[in-house]
Amino acid sequence: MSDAPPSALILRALDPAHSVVVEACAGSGKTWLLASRILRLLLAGVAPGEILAITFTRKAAREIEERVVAWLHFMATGSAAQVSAFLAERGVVAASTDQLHAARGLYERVLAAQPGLAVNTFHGWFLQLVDAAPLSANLAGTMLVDSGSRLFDELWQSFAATLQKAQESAVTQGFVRLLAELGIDSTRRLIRRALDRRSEWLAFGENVPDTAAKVVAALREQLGVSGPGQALAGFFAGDWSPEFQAYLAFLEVSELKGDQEAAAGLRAALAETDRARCFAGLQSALLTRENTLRSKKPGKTLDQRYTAQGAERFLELHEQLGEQLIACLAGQTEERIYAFNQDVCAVFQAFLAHVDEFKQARRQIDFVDAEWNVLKLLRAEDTAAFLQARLDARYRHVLLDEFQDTSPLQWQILLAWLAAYSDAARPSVFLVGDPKQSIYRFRRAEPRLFLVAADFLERDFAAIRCELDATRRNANSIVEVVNALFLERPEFVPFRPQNTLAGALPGRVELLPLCGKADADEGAPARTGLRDPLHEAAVAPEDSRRWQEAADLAEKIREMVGESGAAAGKCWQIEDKAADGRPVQRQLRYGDIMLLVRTRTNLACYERALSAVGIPFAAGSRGGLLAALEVRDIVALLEFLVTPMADLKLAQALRSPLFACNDDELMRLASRPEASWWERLQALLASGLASPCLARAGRLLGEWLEAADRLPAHDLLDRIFHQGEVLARYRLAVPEALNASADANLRALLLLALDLDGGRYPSLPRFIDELRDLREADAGEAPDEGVIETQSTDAGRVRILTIHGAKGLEAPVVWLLDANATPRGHEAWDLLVDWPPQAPAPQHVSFYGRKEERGTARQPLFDAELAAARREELNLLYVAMTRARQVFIASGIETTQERGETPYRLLAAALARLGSVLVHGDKLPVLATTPLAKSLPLVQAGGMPLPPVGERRRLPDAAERFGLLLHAVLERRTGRLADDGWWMTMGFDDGEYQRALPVAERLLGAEHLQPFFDPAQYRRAWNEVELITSAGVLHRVDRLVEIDAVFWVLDYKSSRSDSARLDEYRAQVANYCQAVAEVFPGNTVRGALVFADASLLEVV
Amino acid sequence: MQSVAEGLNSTAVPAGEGFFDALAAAIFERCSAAVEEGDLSSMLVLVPAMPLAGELLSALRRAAPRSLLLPRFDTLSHWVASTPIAAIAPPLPDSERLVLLHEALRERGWFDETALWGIATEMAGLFDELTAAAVSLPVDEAALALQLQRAYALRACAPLAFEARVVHELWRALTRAGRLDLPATYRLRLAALANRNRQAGPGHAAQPLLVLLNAAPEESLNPAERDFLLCYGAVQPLLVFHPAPRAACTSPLLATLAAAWPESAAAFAEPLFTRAMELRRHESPSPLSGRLQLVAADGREQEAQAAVAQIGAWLDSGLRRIVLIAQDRLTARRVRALLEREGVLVSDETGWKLSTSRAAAAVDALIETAAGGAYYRDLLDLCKSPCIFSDCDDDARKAAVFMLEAALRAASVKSGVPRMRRAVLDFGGQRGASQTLALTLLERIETATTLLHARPAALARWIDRLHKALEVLGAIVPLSQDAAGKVLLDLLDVRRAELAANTALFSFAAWRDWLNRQFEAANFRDGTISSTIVITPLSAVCLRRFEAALLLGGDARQLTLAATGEFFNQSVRRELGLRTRADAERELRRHLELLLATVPRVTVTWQSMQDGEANLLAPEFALLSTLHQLAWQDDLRRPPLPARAESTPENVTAPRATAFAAPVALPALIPRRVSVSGYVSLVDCPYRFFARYVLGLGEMDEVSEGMDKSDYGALVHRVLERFHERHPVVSELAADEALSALQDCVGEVFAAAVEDNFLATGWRLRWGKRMTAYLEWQRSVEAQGWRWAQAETRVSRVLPLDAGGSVELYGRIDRIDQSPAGGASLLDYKAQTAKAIRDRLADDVQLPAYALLHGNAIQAAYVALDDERITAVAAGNAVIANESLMDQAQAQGQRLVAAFNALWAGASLPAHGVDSVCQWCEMSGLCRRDHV
Ligand code: SF4
Repeated sequence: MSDAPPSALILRALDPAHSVVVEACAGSGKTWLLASRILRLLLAGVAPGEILAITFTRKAAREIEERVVAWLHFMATGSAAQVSAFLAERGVVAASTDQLHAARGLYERVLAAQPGLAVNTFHGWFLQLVDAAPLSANLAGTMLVDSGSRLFDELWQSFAATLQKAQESAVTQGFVRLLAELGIDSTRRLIRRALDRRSEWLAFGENVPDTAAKVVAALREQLGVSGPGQALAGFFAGDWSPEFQAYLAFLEVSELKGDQEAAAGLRAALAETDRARCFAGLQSALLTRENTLRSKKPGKTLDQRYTAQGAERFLELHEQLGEQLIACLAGQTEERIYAFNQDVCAVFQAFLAHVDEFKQARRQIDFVDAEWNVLKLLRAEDTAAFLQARLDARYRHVLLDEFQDTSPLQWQILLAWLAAYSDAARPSVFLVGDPKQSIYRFRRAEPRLFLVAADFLERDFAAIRCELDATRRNANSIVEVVNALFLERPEFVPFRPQNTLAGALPGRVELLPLCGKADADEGAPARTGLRDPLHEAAVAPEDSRRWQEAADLAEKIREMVGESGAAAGKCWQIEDKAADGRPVQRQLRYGDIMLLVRTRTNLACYERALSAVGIPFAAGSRGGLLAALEVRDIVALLEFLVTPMADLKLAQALRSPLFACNDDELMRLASRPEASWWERLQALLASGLASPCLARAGRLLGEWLEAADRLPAHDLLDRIFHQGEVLARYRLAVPEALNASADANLRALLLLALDLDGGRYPSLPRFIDELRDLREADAGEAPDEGVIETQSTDAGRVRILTIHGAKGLEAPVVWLLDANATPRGHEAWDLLVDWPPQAPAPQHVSFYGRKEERGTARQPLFDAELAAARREELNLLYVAMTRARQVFIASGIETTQERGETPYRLLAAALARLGSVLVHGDKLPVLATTPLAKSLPLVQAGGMPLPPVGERRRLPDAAERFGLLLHAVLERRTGRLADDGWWMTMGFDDGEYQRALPVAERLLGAEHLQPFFDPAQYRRAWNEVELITSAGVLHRVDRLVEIDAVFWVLDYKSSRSDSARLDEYRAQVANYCQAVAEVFPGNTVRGALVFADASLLEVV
Repeated sequence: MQSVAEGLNSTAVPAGEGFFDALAAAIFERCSAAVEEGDLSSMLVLVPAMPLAGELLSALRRAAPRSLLLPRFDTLSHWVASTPIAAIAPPLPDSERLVLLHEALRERGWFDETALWGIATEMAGLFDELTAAAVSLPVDEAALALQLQRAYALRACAPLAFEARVVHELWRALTRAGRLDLPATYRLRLAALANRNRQAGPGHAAQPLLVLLNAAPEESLNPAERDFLLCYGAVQPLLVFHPAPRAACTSPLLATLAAAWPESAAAFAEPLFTRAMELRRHESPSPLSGRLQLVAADGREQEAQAAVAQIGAWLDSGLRRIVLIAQDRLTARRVRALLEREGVLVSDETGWKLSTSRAAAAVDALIETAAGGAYYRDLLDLCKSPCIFSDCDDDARKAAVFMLEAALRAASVKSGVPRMRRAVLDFGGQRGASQTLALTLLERIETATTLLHARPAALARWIDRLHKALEVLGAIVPLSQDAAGKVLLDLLDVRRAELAANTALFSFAAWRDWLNRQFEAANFRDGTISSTIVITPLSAVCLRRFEAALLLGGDARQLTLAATGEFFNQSVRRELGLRTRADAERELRRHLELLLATVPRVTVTWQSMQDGEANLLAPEFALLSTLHQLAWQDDLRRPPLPARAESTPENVTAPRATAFAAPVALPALIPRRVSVSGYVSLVDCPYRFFARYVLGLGEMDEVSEGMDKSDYGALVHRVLERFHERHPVVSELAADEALSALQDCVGEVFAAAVEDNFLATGWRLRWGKRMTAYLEWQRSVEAQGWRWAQAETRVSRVLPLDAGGSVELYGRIDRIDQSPAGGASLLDYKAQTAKAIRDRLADDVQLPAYALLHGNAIQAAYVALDDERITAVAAGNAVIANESLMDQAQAQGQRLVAAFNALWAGASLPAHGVDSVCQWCEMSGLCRRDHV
């Protein structure tokens, strides 16, 4: 940002005096703008706690926070000139001394602020509001849970069980009908989808007692359905048959076989008394299997058969009757839709109640609940005011980032929040976003809200609107293609031609030829007989094109970085920024390349191709931790440890690098007679014939089996990692390209164990169960693979991301993979919701099923959905392209469907418009390659062992505890006062006390000990007294008694007087006596041991 | 220096390494008479925490002018609570108070039953705070509501009135209970102790009191404590000391801290920049460099590694007294484990929530087993706990549990002890002793869980039941021998005693919720480790003179003192006089100030990245770093030390680079018999065949949690088998007769599954939809003259091998039809669509193999059962499709023989499955495909 003076546009956007709406294209510096706006607010004296910034992801929130703090730090420490320049860039020109002074103080002010600057996500902010909810909202003590598929499965099962108990209930019967109609999977999917979208369902039914009834009633009206069978009844109403008779007469005249058959069918149908069967007969006479009108073409033949006039009449009848039939069929479809909705709504409502009950009982809420509750709370005037008061912060400035990803519900919450302000206290609003980058429809993002919100803010908040169409990121060639592509799309609004501020940066857009079947199948051998499985692997034809694309990818990357054969030694040169912001040219590294995919489905194929040629990459598959082989190995080991009968798990652990046994060694075990493999391994070990690897395995496994009983999962794993030299061994075994990811995954597993261990009630079997559940869970809930650390000096790794995951990121080279895939169509079985952006609640909610069962009444809604989906595909392509700083490449495979828009085809068309074929823009300069450092492993070899520190003590045994308690009783009985039950607070139980008490009584009651215990008989006495000698030695004396200027040192022993350690005791007491003599010089000091049998042994 | 808090004199001693020596000197000076007599034993020294007594003791030792009897040491709160005062009734235990609050809430019916313990706990916390701060609530509810309105700056509204009402009514309900709670009793005792000394008056034997505070009295004492000291000091010798605050600037270090964290608003008016320039002007060397370093890490593991490297470096340089300040508990745990690897033990003073112990996990497994109707995972979890069945021999117990698990898996028993018992009895094998023991174990678990399946009862009664159940399981002894288990049992005992008189009844669920909260609130620490390296919270470091300190989790989110309750917001708390976040912040800085002043080497680590998100350093350190940077051109940040080395594997057993697997089977292990599916796996992937049939490995049985497609297929097979056995010729039946006969079979076969899981209805209906089509297809088959003949027919055939041996191929054919003309048709049911079957027909082995085994088949087909219409997909390997069935059969036979000949000749079995096979292959861990 330092290269150009701020534009007037930006200055207006930053002015804290008014609300602003900014529509900012990709790469135009939204984060800079937002952070600058915060800075300006702070400079204007706004307290940090008065600012609420909301963005879409936590990562973005942390980034903004970090950026603001770093800037404040800069202002606190920079020279006056630097700070002035910095401020000037943000529209504070010629800052005054006071302003500079204030700017310097901001860092400290913001860091120490209570409440602090709030940069949050919607998610986080709603949870904060839930926390602040009044007691009356009955949310106290609720715990946030992720409602993923695991929870859903549990609820689904228990829901079914409750239905089973009420077989006769309407809901159960509806449910069974759904099972019969849809099948179990579709029913489940439908309810699952609806559950995820229940806030829309709830919003639709906000003010009615029975949402299902409202949905059904509204649908009935819309479909124009009056009741089951009405369509059919309507068809047969009145005198319907004469025209069919007339039509039949025509058919009967015809000599054509088809007509004859139709006539026979029609005749039978007309004779039929059962309406349904009659209708079916009519239907098959006039309509095709697909229920379209059978084709009857006017023409000579027909005219000959019926005369021209007759033919006309025949065709007219044919059309008219066919229409009637089709209309009736349509009516029947709507009736089915209606009936289907009745069932689903009833079942779904019951399921929701079941879910609520379940969660209530556990005081759980999930994010959807939180969102919905917040809306409810804010829509009620009383609670809205309470919520605003209850928060510590008083927001006067609200900043909204990435607004295009806001959902209608979230917008309603914002509106309610803003409405809760009194007019005088109304905050300023800063809203920034880009409808072109809205790609979160699956999370209900509604890009049209942007305009609605902008209008609203303009009207009610006098907001200023700005449009930023200049990117600082993308090279000109990329912007040219973007413009050529999207200006052609009328639906891609609002879009204005973009320009770039990136200057003379070389740029390039390149399409790789699509991989066709022909390219891929070359060289497949022709065969005559059956395949010999021992020598020849099978080939799966469907993958070969993708393999080809993946291989091309790997090859091209190697070429770009200068590692491939032909271009070896020459690599692409890209432009980077030096620390001071100045551009520098350098060679392209792996880390500069970003691979984008639309979905994760085929990632494995690309990853394999990269690893095959040794290109390091950062695992792009989220949620894949537990699927990684190295992690499965360790989990197999753990499963063996809790279930030692698990032979296959043991075998896997043995075969893994952990024990590095080979197949021959496994066969040794397989040959043995014992029942389980573990028994076999032990027997082999005992026989002394085990190979070194097996011997090591047997020894370690034995130890770990033992440890598994005691240690928490993490500690056990840590021991396994350490003793098993896990990381080092995987480093030796795993191919280089996978090395770093294996390392990272193994470490991630360890940390996962740590996290799960920190939770309630850890046990190894539960840990395993938990892992199993996680593995089976949706990709979204499963733990992510380990993050690979890269040093900035090395070549880095190619990043593989989904387009969604790449949002907010950029790279010099971006490659869109599988670019010729047609976007998936509308999926069946879902909730259909129409929530116009300006409406406070959805206008329509209903369920739909298969494509052919959607009816016609709701067609406009389906069309709108489809248009929105298409639009989002364009947005995705826009996002993907604009990630690229210099180079954008797309590749894909030929598909059999030649219809439909694919990103690849759109790009090709755009290039054509620019007069280019496959490539547009510059040839990137090349450089002689200089070798880059390989990334170093985190752990280094060598080093000295640590000195041992600390020791494990055993807990005192019963005898020792007895001794301790006896001392304590004596102390309390001879001086110190004590409450009832004091021994309990010391950790002793009643039984122990009851055993110690009589012994103490015996001592206290013993005649010969009275001089020491009876206060009348001594002058002074101390219990448990500590003393130091002049040499600094510390002693503790059980009892010290002064009788007639003689000091007695008593030492209690819980043993009997015939103790074997007598000499030791004597010496001890003698020491004490000496010390006491030092304290009270000139007095006689005597010492004695007092034993549990009350005997007294004078020592000194 | 003196600090006077409303009349209480406290002497400020400069904080720093010399603190205790100065303190000892002061004591000897002020108590010279007693020292003269060699007897300080009448003096009581009250310290903020007991470890400080040790510090003071050593200082006294160092400075003692002569031998003497030492004073006694205690903490104020412990001393007050443990000194018997006859007139004061024992306090209402927290546990009983909680029940009272719960009952009061329950009576009022304001909230869901499940929320009550939570709200009661929150209220109890609030009341504690109110008492400690000596705040009493206004006498009536309206007044409280008004006070809240003012503090919230809000007009009257229903939620607010309700909040006031809840607080007020509960407060009154507690007052009505007539017994004082712990904090109130504490105040009363303080007053009584003060009084006692006043009454004793001067002249009575002196009981000098020395109080060491960790901060000036106005910060560290609550009102009641302060009043007590004032009263005490009026009649008895009283000495109060505290470390001088940084604002006193008693050393360059504290002056620097004061500049970084100014306490007064006046100092704050100058920006950090100016204050730093001020420090710089003095041109003295930095008091912090070498004392403090800030180390950023890239994630938890890196932070732990950096911490271990730092501790290692300290140990190498001979330091031993090291403190780990665990703001981040998880990282601390990781660090502890890493150190333990190397024989460095760490003593944890903080302790862990009882709920995170394995002892509590065992108890929870028991309760969960009871709650979930003996769900097998819970039951096995319970059985595998080492805390259970301690009276059995360990090996025998393990063998029995082993057997139990095998039986449950084999019989797929999801829950219910009776069914499990059945499964054990039915389980094959001659494991007599294990079987008996397994049955005994089940019986004991049943007895134990029955104890917990009881009617609502008082909490003490529930504890009794739990105790008995644990006794039945033989868990008491092992629990009492375990550090956490002992704490757990003691906790139960104490609660049982406290609540013995309480009669409120609780359901199982409410009791369980209560118990969970108890386990969550209680702490245990492993006292068996003694070490000079300790883990402790920041607040407990205070003035302890460690040689080095490592603070883990020094980021903004973790380095906070969360000690304020969350019931009201900050302004209300301020209004009510409760502790606020600002107080917590001040306290935090005080702790850090003492830490930096006392410990000569402090390393702070934090994760600057967490899960890929930026994570800021705590403001305290950020300010310090910035100040230091400006004043001394050093921001105190240091890169992490290189991680400690790990041992490298020894050569003999070290793994080589993973290679493509292609083992040669030992002749002895080459199977003599192979099933058709075994043959299929050989064709799919020879290594898979190797793993399954040479090594003889397979997956364990899994208890099925719900019905899946393969279960469905099995049931449909059974339906058809049964149906055709009853009605070999369907054409003889009328259409509806046939349908109802088939329906009967479906009903019978699916009944158990539906009974077990209602969702299986879906599967039954799925098949229900296909029945008509199936009958139609069956009739068409019969129309061609075929007649159903046999189901589930076992067939086998011995094929001679070159070397003289043979291989026997065997299989089971779903269905064989006969034609009157002779010749058989082999049918295999598949619950799949015809398209799915056709797609996988390329290298089809199964049907030709059946044909080979049968020997007299003229056709073979898969019956695709999952389409609208049922169709038969004829066998046909793509390569040899145009050959006759028997030719195909022969070809398959030859291929099998060739493969076995090769195996005997030492051919290897390569792991070369195709993706679609590997994806679901259970042997992928053995062939190591992903790592090749
Ligand atoms: S994973 Fe693939 S290669 Fe490995 S054994 Fe299974 S089928 Fe064969």
